[in-house]
Amino acid sequence: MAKVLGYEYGKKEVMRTKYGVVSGLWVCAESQYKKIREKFPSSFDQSGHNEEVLKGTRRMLLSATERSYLYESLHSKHIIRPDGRNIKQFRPIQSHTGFLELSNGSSKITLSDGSECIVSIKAKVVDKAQEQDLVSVDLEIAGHREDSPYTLSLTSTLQSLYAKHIPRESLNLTSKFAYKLYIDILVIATYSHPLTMMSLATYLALQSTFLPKLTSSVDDKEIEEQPTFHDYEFVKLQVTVPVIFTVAVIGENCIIDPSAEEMEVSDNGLIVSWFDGKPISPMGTVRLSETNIKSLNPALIVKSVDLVSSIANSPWNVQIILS
Amino acid sequence: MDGRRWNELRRFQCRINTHPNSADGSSFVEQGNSKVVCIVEGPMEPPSRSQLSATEATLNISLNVTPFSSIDRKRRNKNERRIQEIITSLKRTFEQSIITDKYPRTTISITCHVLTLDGGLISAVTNSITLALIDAGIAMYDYISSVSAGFYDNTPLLDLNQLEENDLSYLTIGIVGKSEKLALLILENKIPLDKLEGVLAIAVAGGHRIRDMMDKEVRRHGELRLSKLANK
Amino acid sequence: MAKGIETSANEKAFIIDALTQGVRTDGRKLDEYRDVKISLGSQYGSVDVTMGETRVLCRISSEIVAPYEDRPFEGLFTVSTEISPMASPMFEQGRQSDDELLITRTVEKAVRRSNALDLESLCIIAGAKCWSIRADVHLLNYDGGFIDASCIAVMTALQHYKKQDITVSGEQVLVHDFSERSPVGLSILHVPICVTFAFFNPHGVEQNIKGDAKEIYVVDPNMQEELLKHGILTVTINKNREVCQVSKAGGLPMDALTLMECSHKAFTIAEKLTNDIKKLIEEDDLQRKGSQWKMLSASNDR
Repeated sequence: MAKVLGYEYGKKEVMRTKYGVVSGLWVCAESQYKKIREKFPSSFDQSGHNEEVLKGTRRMLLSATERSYLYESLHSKHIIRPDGRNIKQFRPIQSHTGFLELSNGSSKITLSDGSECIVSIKAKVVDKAQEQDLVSVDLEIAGHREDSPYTLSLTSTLQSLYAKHIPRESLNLTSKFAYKLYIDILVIATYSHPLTMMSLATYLALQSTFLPKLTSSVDDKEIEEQPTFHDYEFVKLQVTVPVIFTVAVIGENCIIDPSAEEMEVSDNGLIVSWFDGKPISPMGTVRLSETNIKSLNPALIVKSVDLVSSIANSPWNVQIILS
Repeated sequence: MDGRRWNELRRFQCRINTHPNSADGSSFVEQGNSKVVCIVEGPMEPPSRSQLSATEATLNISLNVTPFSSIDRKRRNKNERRIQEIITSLKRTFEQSIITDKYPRTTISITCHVLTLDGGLISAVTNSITLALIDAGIAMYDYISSVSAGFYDNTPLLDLNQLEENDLSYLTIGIVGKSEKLALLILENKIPLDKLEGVLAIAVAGGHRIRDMMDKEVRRHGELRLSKLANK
Repeated sequence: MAKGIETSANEKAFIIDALTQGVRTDGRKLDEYRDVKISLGSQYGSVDVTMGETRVLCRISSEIVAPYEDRPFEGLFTVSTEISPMASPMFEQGRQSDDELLITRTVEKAVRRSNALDLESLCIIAGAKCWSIRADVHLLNYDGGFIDASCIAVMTALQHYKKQDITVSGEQVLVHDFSERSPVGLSILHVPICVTFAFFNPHGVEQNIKGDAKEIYVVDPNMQEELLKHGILTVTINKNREVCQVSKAGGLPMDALTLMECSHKAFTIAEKLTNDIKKLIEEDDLQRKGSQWKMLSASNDR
């Protein structure tokens, strides 16, 4: 196993499939394992088929040996992550956009461990005077009740994030009316911390949102009239959207996008939101595992933000916008 | 209404094993513009003792009609009576078609997410559950294929969309395999007794066509799996 | 649902064996409906229905309320069913089981969704005032056939019920007392009647799916039969040969032809029941009119 993990790779790939553009952030798992298999055929027996390897990430219960092995390898100076990523590397992500006809924008993200999330954006014309927020986030996580504290806290995090950073002007129609965006997030399965997945899916959905084109006049101060829209022409929604990153802290190390096992052995977790080239609120600690949470060295927060900024400012960010 | 002939089904597409990493069995069904994702987990140890049955498997079904599924966004209450009723009906249907006594002391949990809804809620959900159960490798007596059929001006119509459903009286049936046995039958509006037979007849025929399409997909997937195994 | 009441294996075998020979434990034929006794209360809209040991009480009440915003031209009609442990120890207090939910929904669908009551006739002032009719169904004793009995009770009560007469002048609505003006009946469009069939499968499931063995069905099952059934079908039909509702919530798969057979049987039963109810209501009406005239006549009995 160590031999396999020692192998270095980390190339960026973008895949195109018949479903449209699928962006593979960094290296796709399949090709990763293929490469490893070519290099070290002996370390793969029959059960080394990549599907089984990926399925293994579902396991949350770790034995004492596994736990200490993982902890040590993640704790050491030359960090070794169980799936061979480096500290800035995301798990492979597959995404589809625009597959829901009845929504203005939609996206689906699947992670390599089977976590999946669907986001739908629906717009409604509202009277600006009556609506406080022009963005409303609704979250549903399979297996959790709608009114469970877990769901509610995630909803409020996202609600405040998007309500604050999606500018009202971008949804403006006339002096009286505006679009209100309903963001519905449905998490079908999740094995690691879902915030990154949800925020990336929302990002994609918002980037692929098309709203009906306004045909009536923009200024309706004098005339009392309902806005009318073009029958089939749409305008792409132009917004910059914040993204949330999850960082796990183990010892002196910070790793991005922790998988289920990494979460399980981590000392603490951080969420860092990124918008317009700088970190913003919400930023704080999250519980990634049920047990052994340790206090956090403030220097590590700075380190995590640096880690996030090196990722967020790197060209892959552009990659998502393109897809 | 949408340019189909009276006995024409809407575009029916299905895929199984869509979530190989996150569930034991999964399927995605598109019936016209209705899209349903179904996930089956199990047979597994039940979370609580009270759900355990010593002789057969216990079924747990949850149906999630997403707020963005209809044209106007509306939040639906999970405990809405209509949804609860559909769940109960589905549970009774599948309890009879799964060979439940093969899996004593286990639960099989089924979750359906309705992504978009354009009529035929019950039929799309039923078909997706059948496929996901097959994908999970759970023993069943036969396919349960489901389709709705309505009635307008002396003509029976097959597989209604939302607009037609709102205005016409219709029934939804679930058929066992290639037989004419009905596992599920729900009719909620008025249909003259003498027309009922005709409507049932086209529904049964439509159900058989859907069964064939589902069977094709299952076989396609089976062959894919087999070829992968052979190449190893 | 079968909590507290269990049928022994012996009893079970006996009942099913008898059914295969076409005999039912209470001596009825397989397709024989139980005798329905309907008694009308002294007040309008209170009805007591007895079928075998099953007893159901229905009471109609009305008030004037604001209609729903999206349906300004329609009145309100609600059916609420109360199933308490009084009827049978197998029903729990406060918690609704799946079966109870299905029962409640079926009754509601049969009567409300089929538009048995003309909701538009309940409108007083569009968008502002309308009648709200409420039917409360109480199950007093349970011996199977709750859906059938409640449906009969609600429909009889609706036909029997009379509400106060009103006069509309502008935005003002004047409600007349019974003694001031004679009350008016509700406008009933049709009378749906539910008929329940229970299915039994004396052979294994495999044979049934393959179609080798035919299932047995009985009309109007009693409690014992309902506990043993493998599948249940409720057909709601009116005397105009319109099927209003069919619900077969899973259970034993059955033949489409059997369904047609059942529907035709249900029609015969529904026709007879509708006529019975109509006769009963007419008799009661005559009787009430008679007493009214007596009250109004100038000469007293001496």
